[in-house]
This record gives sequence, C-alpha cells and structure tokens, in this order.
Amino acid sequence: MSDTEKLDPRSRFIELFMTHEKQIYRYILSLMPHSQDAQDVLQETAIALYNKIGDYDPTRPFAPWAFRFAYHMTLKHREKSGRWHRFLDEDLMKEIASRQSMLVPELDQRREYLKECLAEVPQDKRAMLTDYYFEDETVDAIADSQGKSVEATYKALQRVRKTLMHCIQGKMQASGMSAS
Amino acid sequence: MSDFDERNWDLLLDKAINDTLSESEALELNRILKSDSKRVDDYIRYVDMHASLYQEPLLAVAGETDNLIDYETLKSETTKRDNIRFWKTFAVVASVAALVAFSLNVWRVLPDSGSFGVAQGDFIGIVTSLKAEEAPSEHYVGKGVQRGLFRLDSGKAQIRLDNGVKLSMRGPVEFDVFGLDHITLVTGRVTANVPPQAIGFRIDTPDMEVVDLGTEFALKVDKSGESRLHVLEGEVEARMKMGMDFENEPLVIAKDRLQELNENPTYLEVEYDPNSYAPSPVKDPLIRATGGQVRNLQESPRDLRHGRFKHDYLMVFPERRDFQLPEALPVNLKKPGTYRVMSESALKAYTETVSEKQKERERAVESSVVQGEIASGTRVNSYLVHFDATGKSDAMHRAKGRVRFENKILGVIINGQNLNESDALVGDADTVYESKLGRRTENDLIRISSDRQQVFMNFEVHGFIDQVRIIVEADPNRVQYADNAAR
Repeated sequence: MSDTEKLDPRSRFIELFMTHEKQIYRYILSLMPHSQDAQDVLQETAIALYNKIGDYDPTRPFAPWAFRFAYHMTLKHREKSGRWHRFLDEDLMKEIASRQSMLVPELDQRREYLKECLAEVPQDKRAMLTDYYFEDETVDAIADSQGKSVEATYKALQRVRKTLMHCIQGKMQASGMSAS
Repeated sequence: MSDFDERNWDLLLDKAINDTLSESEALELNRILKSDSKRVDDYIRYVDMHASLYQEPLLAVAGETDNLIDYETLKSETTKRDNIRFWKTFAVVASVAALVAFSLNVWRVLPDSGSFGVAQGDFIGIVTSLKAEEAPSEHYVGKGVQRGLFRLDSGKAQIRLDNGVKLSMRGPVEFDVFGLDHITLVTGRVTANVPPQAIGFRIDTPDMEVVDLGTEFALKVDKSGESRLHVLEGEVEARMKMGMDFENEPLVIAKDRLQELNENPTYLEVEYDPNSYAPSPVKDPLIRATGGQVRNLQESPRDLRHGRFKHDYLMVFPERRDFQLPEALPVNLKKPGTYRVMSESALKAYTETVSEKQKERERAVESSVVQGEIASGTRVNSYLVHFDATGKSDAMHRAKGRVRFENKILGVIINGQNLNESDALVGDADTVYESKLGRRTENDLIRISSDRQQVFMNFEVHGFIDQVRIIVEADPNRVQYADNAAR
C-alpha cells in the first residue's frame, strides 16, 4: 500500500488533487479555452471530487477519474453560460476529451520544450505574455499600456504564440518525437 | 490545406482562445475539427500551450504565486478539524508554493500619518480583531505587526501573521515577535492556530519551548514566568528549558493521544479551562475563502477616511450582520458577469473602440449603473472591500484577489454616491467613512461568479480610495455562530 493509499479519503484527495490540479485545469481549458471560466469549472470540479472522494478506487489512476467530473462540470457550466453554446458541440467535446487523454505524454514533453522556447522570447514580448497570462490583463488594457491598437495587440499575441508553437514543433522534430 | 486555409486555421485557433469567435467562425472551427482528426490534435496542442502559459513560472512576477483553486473552500467542508494527517499531508504538498504565496507584501499601515517612513516588508502581520477594555489603545484593527515587542494591556485581540498563523491573546500579554515562525511569550495568554504551511511555528516562554506540529494550542505564562500548555487540536512538541527529569526532553503531545503519555508533564494542563487561556482564534465563518491579495479582518476598522487606512492589500471586513433591510437597497451590480467599471467619458471611448466580442466578455459599465435593488425586509450581511494606496510614490497601484462567501451575493455597490447613501443603512455604526473625497471604483474589474458566491476584483488606484460593498444573503445560523465565536 502506498503512502497516499494509507491516508483517509479527504487527506488523500488534497494530495491527489494538488498533484493533478494543473493537468485538470488544462483539460478543462481544452474544452472551454477561457481562463476565468476554466477556473470556475476547476473550483466546481474540486468540490465535486472532494464530496465523492470516497468513491475513488485508489488502485486506479486519479486523472481519468477526475477528468470525468471535470467534463460534466464543463457541460454544466456551458448550460449556465449561453455564450459557450456556439463553440464546440458535444460530439467534438467528447472527441477532444478522449484525444487529450491519449496525448498526455506528448503534451508533457511539449511543455518542457515550451520552457526552453519561452526563454528565447525577447523581453518585450515576454512582458506582454506576463501581462496577459500572469496579470490576467485584458488585451484592451495591454494595448492601452503599450500605446497600440487592440487589433495590433491581438495580432502581436497571436504571433508570439505561433512562434512558440513553431519552436516547440522544431524541438519535437529534432528529438524524433513529432507525430506530424 | 492551402496557405489561405492554414492562415484561417491559425486565426480560428487564436480567436477560440481569445473567446472572440463569431457564430460563423465557431461553426467553421467545428466543421474543420470534425472533418480532420489531425486538426483535433493540433487544436489540443495549441490550447494546451495556451493553458500551460497560465501556469508557466517564467511568466510569474517574482514572489507572486497563487493556487488555482481555494483549498480553504474544501477545508471548510471538513467537519472534523482534528485530523492531523490531513494537515500534515496538506503541508507537505503545499508548503513550498504557500511560503512563496505568503511572501511579505505589506508596505504601510499608518492611520494618522500622511508620510510613509516604513519600508515595504517591515510588517509581518496585521491586527484583525481588537476588543480593548481601555481606550485609547495603541492598537487598532488593521494595524501592521512588526518584529519586536507586542503588548496588550487589557482586552482581547487577534493578529494574523503573513504565513497564516493566527494568534489570539488576552491582555495583559507581552510577547516578542522574532519572525513569521517564532515568537517568545514573555507573560500572559496566547492561543495559536497554525495552518499547514506554517507547521513548525515555535513559541518560547521563559521556561519552555513549544513547536507546533499542527494545528492549535494555548499557552499562558504567569508573572513568575511559569508556563502552562493546553493542546486544543492536533499536536505539538514541547519541552522545558531547564530541569532534571524527562520534562526537558522534547515530547510530542497530541490532543487525541494523551493516554499514550507515560506521565503527564507538569506544564501540561489536560483539563481545559477556557477562561484561563486566550480564546481560540476565530475565522469569519461567513467567508469561505479569500485568495490573491485579499486580507480578511474580523472587524471593521474605525476610520476609513482618505489616507487613514492605507495598505497594499484589498482589505475585506464585515459591517452589518444578519440585518433586516428596513427599506429597499439599490445595488449597482446584481447579475453574475465580468464588469469593467468606468467613468462616463471613458465608457464612451470604450464603446466606440472595442469589439462586440470584447464587450460580451467584459461588460463595461458606468459606475452609476443600478442593476436592481434588494427588497425591503431581506436579511443581509454587508462586507466592505477597501483599497487605499494614497501617497505611494507610484502614480498607480494595483491589487487583485477574490472573496468566496458561504452564501449568495445579492448585490455589489460600487458607486461613490451609492456607497455614501448605504453607509447609514448597512455600514458599521462605529466606523467613520469617507464621504467627500474620491471613493469609487474606476477602470477596475469586478467579476461576480456564475454561482454568485465569489467576487473577483482587479483594482487600480490613483490617489483615490477604491471601495465596494458586497451584500450577501444572511444565514441566521451561521451569523449566530460567528457572534458566539467572537465572544
């Protein structure tokens, strides 16, 4: 029996959830790629999992079990929030959820490369990413602070993301891990 | 795919993560994803990178990290709080992140002075509650706690250190604060509640050393310097500094395993007489959790006029509790959503320049907007969020964070005039509020969660006070508990 299994269910939950929190967040964001909504769903998922932790079979991996809850919480959130209805339909959500689980090893590797690629991003571009991703600034606010148009700021962010994607892809190919 | 399709694909992906897809673009994205499974994988890779950027330490500002969810929310649902393993497990996993998150961030709390002679980082805690029997007291709710001697001549007080340790005390008491993890109780009564990230917190007395192993213990030192200890929850490691027998060896004393001790040490009081110790530190049971740069006080500060209560945190504190509204109360925000609060002129410029999608995602409102009212006769709790960074050398100061309540949020008051008008009704009767100078929210972001239990705030101040009043549904049972706990 592992140390985690020896714990009472709720202690076990805290340990398991903290270990998988970011993975679950990324899973939710793939189904609803807006950070504030995804954080709401993550919070609701955590509460649901916490209340149901007694049902969890510790001999099985935690993430797939948690993903099922996250999936249903995302659906519930979509129902409450009209603006997501027109996004991915339910069949696509199922497919994305299924494919996402299968791509986990590749995505883990890509995140390692993301760190390396991010270190190569020029300081001004990285500051923009910090404003957007860490400070939760809106594109409007970033545009305002940089004296650029909103449209230009969207495009600048798009270009940085694209550069990062290419950089990651290049490293994947160089290591022979690229699927495409 | 052609170059054009490829560019279109990139654009659709980017719009998807920016939440700016039009109806037709959303349909197009659905169509492409359904027609080509490779595109599904590409979509996942792109969105996963986007999600990873939110979590990437390289993008974090030094010293600022935050959990994605409020673990306090979950802890508050734990009915038995004496589960040591729970805390220990939590501590092991959370300690590194939490210690960074609890980095020193206080830069000034000077109620009477317009000057700022104390540098950032000098304060390591805050007085969150004070029931002084003698007035005037040198202490006040919201006062910063520094390293060095802390004395309370009479009454009761509670302080919260920046690592989350709560110290409740009953005067006369005197202790020396060495740092976040160590105080020396010279004389008097202190009860410490130690959260998981601060396990290892130590209190010395003239004749003892007590190290917390989780979660709550009470100490008293009489005039002769003799100490007594009672463990309220969890376990401590204690020893006498002097002596000949086993008492000067470190001994683990667990609340639930006292029978395992071969012999009770003389400093241990097994029977608990609450009147002879300081009360257990209280947590506002109506607030489920706070996150980010929000700090919760148990009581409202006495003076909230411009420049009188300056801090670089968003301070949230209760005003009226379980109060039945004698008349309808207009509120500026009532519905869940993300609001950008602006002046009339800024709103006009905003309306003309931003896209419809942007407006949908982040609704810009004039601060004088009134979305509705709370009906007369409704029982409510009122909380004020206060952010005053006047006098700071920077032209602008920012803070963001969230408060999650146990009950539904009925409305949020953001407009200066509405704040002024509601002071008499739902404000704290003993608090002096700002009524002349700026008291408002402007170019601030406020988000009411879809379950209407959480408010997220991203405030910036330029020489004015940012305040919002949050009106929450009352729950008489919980308020009763809160009042009892405060006694």
